[in-house]
Amino acid sequence: MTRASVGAGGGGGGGGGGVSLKAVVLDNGAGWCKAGVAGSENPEALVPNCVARPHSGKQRWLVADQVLACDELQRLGIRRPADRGYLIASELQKEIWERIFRTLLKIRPSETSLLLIEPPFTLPSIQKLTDELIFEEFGFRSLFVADPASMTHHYLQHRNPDSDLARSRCSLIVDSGFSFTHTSPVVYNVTCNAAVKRIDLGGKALTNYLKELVSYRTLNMMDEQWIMEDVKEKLCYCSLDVASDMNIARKVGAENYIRCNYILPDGLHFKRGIVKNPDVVPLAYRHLSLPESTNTPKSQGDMPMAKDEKVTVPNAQELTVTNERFLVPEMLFHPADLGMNQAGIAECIVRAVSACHRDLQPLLYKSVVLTGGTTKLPGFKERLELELRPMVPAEYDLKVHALDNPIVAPWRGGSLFASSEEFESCSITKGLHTKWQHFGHANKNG
Amino acid sequence: MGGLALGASLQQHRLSNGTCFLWQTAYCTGEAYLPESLLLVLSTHLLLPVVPCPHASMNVNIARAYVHAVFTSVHVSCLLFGIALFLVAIARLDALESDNIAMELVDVDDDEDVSLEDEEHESLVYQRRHKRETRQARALEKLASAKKTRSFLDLLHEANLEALPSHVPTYLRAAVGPPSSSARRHFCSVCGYFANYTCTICGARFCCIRCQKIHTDTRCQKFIA
Repeated sequence: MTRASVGAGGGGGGGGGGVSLKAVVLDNGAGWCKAGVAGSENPEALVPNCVARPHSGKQRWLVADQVLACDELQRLGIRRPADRGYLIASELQKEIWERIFRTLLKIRPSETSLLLIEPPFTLPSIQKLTDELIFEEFGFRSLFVADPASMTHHYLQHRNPDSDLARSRCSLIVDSGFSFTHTSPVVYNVTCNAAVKRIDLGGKALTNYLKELVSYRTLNMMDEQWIMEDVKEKLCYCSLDVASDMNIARKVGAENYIRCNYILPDGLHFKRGIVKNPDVVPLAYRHLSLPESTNTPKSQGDMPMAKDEKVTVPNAQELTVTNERFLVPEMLFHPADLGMNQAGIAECIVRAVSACHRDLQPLLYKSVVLTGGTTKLPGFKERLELELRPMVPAEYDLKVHALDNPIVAPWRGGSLFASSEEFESCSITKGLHTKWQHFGHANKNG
Repeated sequence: MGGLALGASLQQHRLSNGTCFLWQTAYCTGEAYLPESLLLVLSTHLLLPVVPCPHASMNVNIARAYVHAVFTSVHVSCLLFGIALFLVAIARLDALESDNIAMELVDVDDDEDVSLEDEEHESLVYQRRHKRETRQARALEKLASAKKTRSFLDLLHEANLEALPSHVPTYLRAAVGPPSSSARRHFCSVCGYFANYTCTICGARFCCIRCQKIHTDTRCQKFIA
């Protein structure tokens, strides 16, 4: 079957048999939905997977992309269709998908194949829920379910065919997303499910933790998950030396370059929250980007906080964060500090790799790949290398690859795969799905 | 039983029958656990039924009330206090997974007029579409305000993953498990700095006298974090 390239067949889709059919790729993360037509470089729809309503209650519920455009961020009420990373509220999810498919992508599901990227170990009941949603509510023509790890692997393999990853066909994908962090060995292009390990910590828990800390120490932000998410993204970083950063964060005045102020949105002067002194933010992790030689903190390094406040606002409410900036991401590396009985991310990687055959281990350590939104925290890669190196046998090479856009990496892999020739033959059609369902019923009754 | 049996909801009828009745619920995701030894003490010394049950999401209020009850009694309060602290820790971990709670309070009174107005703003041309949109909005209203049907943990329990043979990778087996070194760093509950001292009353951490004062003035025994 020769599938016309999606760009060419992208028009109406018509009723033209199986040739010019579109395929849509949907990476349904608990935090963000990434959706777009297969074959493109970036997803057309990159929207939060939630509905939200401003506190005033005057507006309707905002769905997906409408949330991004919302100007009234204070006490934004959020409801998500996913709990701990897995889809549970299918009706709510349906509304969000409806918005994505009909309004944003403008596709007709009955003429479209769907590649759905779903977290590993989805419970059978949730799988069933999802299938029903896709085939019965939306009526997609066919479905292929993939996991984020193998899709990321696929993407990297295509992007750089000469890399170690592509030649060995093995990689270790660290996917630190919104609800949890998975470390998945991919062996010969297939995710090795038996070796996948999970930490139940992701971006959401970090945001909530930050919210909790800040609420006690400075301002009560308990109702402001949406704003705190932004604070986390803009200000948090992974510390390479917690002890020294801690001491700096304790200082008063200009010496404390870790302290940052964030101006909270008030819906009037500031529709969006902004960092008060953006120059100060990277000071805390500037040594990450600079080579060793130029790392002279004493001479020019201790640059005081910029005195001239670029944004001078009357009555702006400011949120001051100091050691929360690195203590929050720190939890990923030491969940025990939070009282969680789980190993940190470095140990998680080691356990995932050790669960594979010994001959594969050097190959896996050679291509550790970071995906997922949480890995965008500055210093994540360096910190992970620092923690991981002592745990990996000295004779093995260790290479950690950070992606430039980790959020959409699995989607891109899916996009590549869905526009390849095998895709159609791999996916399950609607007819087959119904048949199986009947079969299942017959089995149950008989 | 790795990672299983993690106390959650406690019910206590101390006043009625004079015995402490604990209901131990299991918490299957392995993010925290009751130490096996403690479980043993509970079940033998106190004759407490320690039954693994589905996780009932526990709120801090229960724990707080419980702690209060523990304090008023003389019996085994130390032990139970430890458990209570432990339960608070779980409640806190649960809270980390929660969505914005503020909206629960938002009353869902008639938004019909408002939504009609909104749509006029959007200048919809067809009345038919107009109608459909309103209907959609209302449906969405209903959905979003409806209580969450079943949590993931309920579904997880229902799936009965423990029954699968041990070679099948499942959600439960994918959990990374306890760290090799259990050394826990303690941070000051007030300022976040490394905390060397523990509050003798409630067990929270602090780093200096100044922070201790703030702690006793504001948060001591409140078990929020």
